[in-house]
Amino acid sequence: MEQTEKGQVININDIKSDAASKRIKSIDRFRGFCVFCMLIFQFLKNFPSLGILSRLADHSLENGIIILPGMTLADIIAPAFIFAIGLTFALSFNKWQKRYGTKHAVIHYLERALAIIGLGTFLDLCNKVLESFDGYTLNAFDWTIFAFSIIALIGLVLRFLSAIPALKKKLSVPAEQIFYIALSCMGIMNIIITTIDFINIYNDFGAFRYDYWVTLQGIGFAILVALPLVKSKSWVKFLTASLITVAYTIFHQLGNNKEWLDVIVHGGVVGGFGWGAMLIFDMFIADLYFKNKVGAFTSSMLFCALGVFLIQWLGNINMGSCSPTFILVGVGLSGIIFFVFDFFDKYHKTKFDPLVWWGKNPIIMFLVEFFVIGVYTSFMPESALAGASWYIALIQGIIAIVVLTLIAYGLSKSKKSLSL
Amino acid sequence: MKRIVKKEKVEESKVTEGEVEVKNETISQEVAQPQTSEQEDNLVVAEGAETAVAAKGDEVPVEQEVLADENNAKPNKWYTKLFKRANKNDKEKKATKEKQPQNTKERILSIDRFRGLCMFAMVCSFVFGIFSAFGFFAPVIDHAPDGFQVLPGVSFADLFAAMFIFVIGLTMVKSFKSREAKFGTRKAYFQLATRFLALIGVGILFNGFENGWAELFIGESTWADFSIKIKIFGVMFWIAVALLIVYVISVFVKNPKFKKVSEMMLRYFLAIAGVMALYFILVSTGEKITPPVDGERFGGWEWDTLQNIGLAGLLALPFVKFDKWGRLTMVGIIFTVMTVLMQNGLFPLANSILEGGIFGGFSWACILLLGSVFADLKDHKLYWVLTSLLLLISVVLIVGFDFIAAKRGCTPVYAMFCASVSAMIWGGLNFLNNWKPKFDFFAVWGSNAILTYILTIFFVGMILGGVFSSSLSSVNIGVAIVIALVILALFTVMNWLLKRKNIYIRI
Repeated sequence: MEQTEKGQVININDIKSDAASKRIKSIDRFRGFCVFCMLIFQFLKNFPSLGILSRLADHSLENGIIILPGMTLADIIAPAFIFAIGLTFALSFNKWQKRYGTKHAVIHYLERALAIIGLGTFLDLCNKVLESFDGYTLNAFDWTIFAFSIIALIGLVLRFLSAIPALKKKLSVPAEQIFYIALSCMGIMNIIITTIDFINIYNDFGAFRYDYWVTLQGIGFAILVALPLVKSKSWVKFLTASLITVAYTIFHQLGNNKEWLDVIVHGGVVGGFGWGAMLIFDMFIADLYFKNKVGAFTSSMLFCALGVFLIQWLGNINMGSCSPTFILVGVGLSGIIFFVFDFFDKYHKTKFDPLVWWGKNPIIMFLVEFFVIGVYTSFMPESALAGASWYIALIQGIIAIVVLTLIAYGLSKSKKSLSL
Repeated sequence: MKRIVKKEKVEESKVTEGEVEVKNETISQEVAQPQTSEQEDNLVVAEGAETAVAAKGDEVPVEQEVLADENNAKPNKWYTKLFKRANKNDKEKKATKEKQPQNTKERILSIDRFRGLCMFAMVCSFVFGIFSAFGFFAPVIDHAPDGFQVLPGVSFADLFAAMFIFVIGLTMVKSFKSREAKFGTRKAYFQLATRFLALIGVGILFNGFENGWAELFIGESTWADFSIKIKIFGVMFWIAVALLIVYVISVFVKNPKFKKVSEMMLRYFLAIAGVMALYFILVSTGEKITPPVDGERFGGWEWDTLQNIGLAGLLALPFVKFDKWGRLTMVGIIFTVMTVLMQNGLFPLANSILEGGIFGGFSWACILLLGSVFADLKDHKLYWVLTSLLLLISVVLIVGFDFIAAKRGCTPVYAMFCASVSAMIWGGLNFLNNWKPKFDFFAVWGSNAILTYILTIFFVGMILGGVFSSSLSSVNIGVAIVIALVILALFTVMNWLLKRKNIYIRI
């Protein structure tokens, strides 16, 4: 607390949070950019006639747009999204802590992280169910997840129902708990079976894998790893992330571990520690950002330079195994992109801000893309997708962008959001 | 006569009005510079960082050292005549120091320390290179491709020459400004150009000795074996030695005119040697690009570090009056053009000449200019941003996109990488400016860099590494350690004594 000349008492933390809230727009815009890239590029991938535009979302080195050794343009989107989380993680946690206390905040974020993993599990299950129409046989785990998904969906429906004023009091809390707990259980189960998957691969036990791990699981697990450090000082974050990175690097570089890690998407649970280190580094840069923008930008560049520099000894960047070089370049490059957004923030004068709309509801947009675009691409004939001429493809792309932007705008305007 | 009076007026006005200007624009120690033309005429010798040749009435821009007011000097020893030195008594010195702003002192320390670090590393590489017992050091002291590769094409040892040039850049603009303030723009340009040419001259005459006379003395060649270039520079070497002797004599003969003439003769003779060296390398470069039909070549090159520094200074000189952003823009343009050229066929040609010859000179000049930009940005918030940006760009281009990085040939990405590493080290040293130990090892080593370098080339490189190479290379590691330590200790003591007596030798 400090006293001004006029005798007003000012809380330094308030000043900090004021400064932070002023910058939220650029963070929203950056997050919106990440979500936009994830969804739209993914959609454009269906149209080879669009040439380079269809390759934007491609992670393969054969077809993707290579920006650094072993890294395609698409590979930077997930780290950038994690960076966006890292920017607001501590602020958001502090807000919860202020309102409900530390214990509640920790439980909330624990649930939130597990729920993100659970949501990824659910989306994986949806894919497996679709595959089952092509001959895939659902196994016991799939059915278990199916059951929990039903419970989560019931929770979701109840949450929608709780919007009715008459039911709000009765339904609000149980609906939320049902939804959260179901998703969290799915998340926990996912972590267990992905660990089993890795042990199986490591010991070369047969070819069977459950295969439940994609980007959302990686993000959720990273939050779990980073959660214990959310209240710690910047240097502790940096030191811890460095230690995790060093330990992970040693593991990654030993024997065939790199190849084993590469089998499961993003390195699975073990790779998740790498993603966790990435998030902690991001939080460190976020701390710097709120104190000294220039310092944070410089740190991002140094992270990136170090990552590229180490390619000589640690091998190419590899998102698949979450290679140490990927961790460092992911942190650095995401930071640089964010600071470009932040730099141009002061020039943004109009109210027309579509990226902010996109950035306000990433989870809903993600679900919309998965179901709406997913259904669209599943049921459209091949001639309208892979076989479409470039202008037909372009029209579809523009329509997708406009429709999704309108949805984002609507959600933003009505202040509706799905918070996990 | 008229001219001298006019100059004295200028000098006076500078001292009276100069406080503010000195503090803001140039390093305030200039306040203590000698003011009379006679005092200025007294010196030949050089401050390492500036690599400069003092002209008549050309008192040195003394960014790095506290020089005493020689009006109060009572020269009672021979070296006070030979070298410029501080003669202020302790009280005056203390008072002068108190007048100086704190940041001035800081700058001096970090620059001296950085220069000392470069010199120490260079001398160590010379000394360790003599003994085969230190073979395990080879990865550290060998240049690419044999040395330890920091980046593809860049070894650890490749960093230090570039760092040294970067340090020169740290003081170059300030040096120019102080001259400009005293003598006018045209003369400032002329003086610096002469300095850099003379530096090339010193280098080329050393080569004349090393590649000519030294081989003749040890019986590896005969006079007839030498090319016309070696013959010319070999002869010029002895003329330069003679002129140096004449100059030293003139210091003791109380005849100002004789002293002035002998000093000018030496300086301009060295500069002429520099011009000739440039002529030969230009012809040689032209002949490499368009080989003569009859096969007879007139060009040739003798090119080494001193020539390289001189050329870098000459190429950087036209931009010295630009502000820091102007200089940075020029660096960007030169880097872009040279990168395009190097990546598209120029590199083999540049790589065929030590340090890239004329072509490499452009990149070396950029390092120097970057040094001057970073000196101006020292306390600016963008210092570390620019450093990191250069590091990032260079590392990404070299590692990510396989751009050619090489000291030999001095490709722009190599120059960019070295400049960024140098800026990082100097930036780090700036944090230590408040730490002032009694014996500041690297500051001591950095106080007389050019003298140290020349002595190293001559005694360690040519005498120990040349004449006694066969006997020294076979000694066991114990003896090698002792000899190496003795050599390093001798250099340390020499530098310490010179610094203690405020003697800063400049060419």
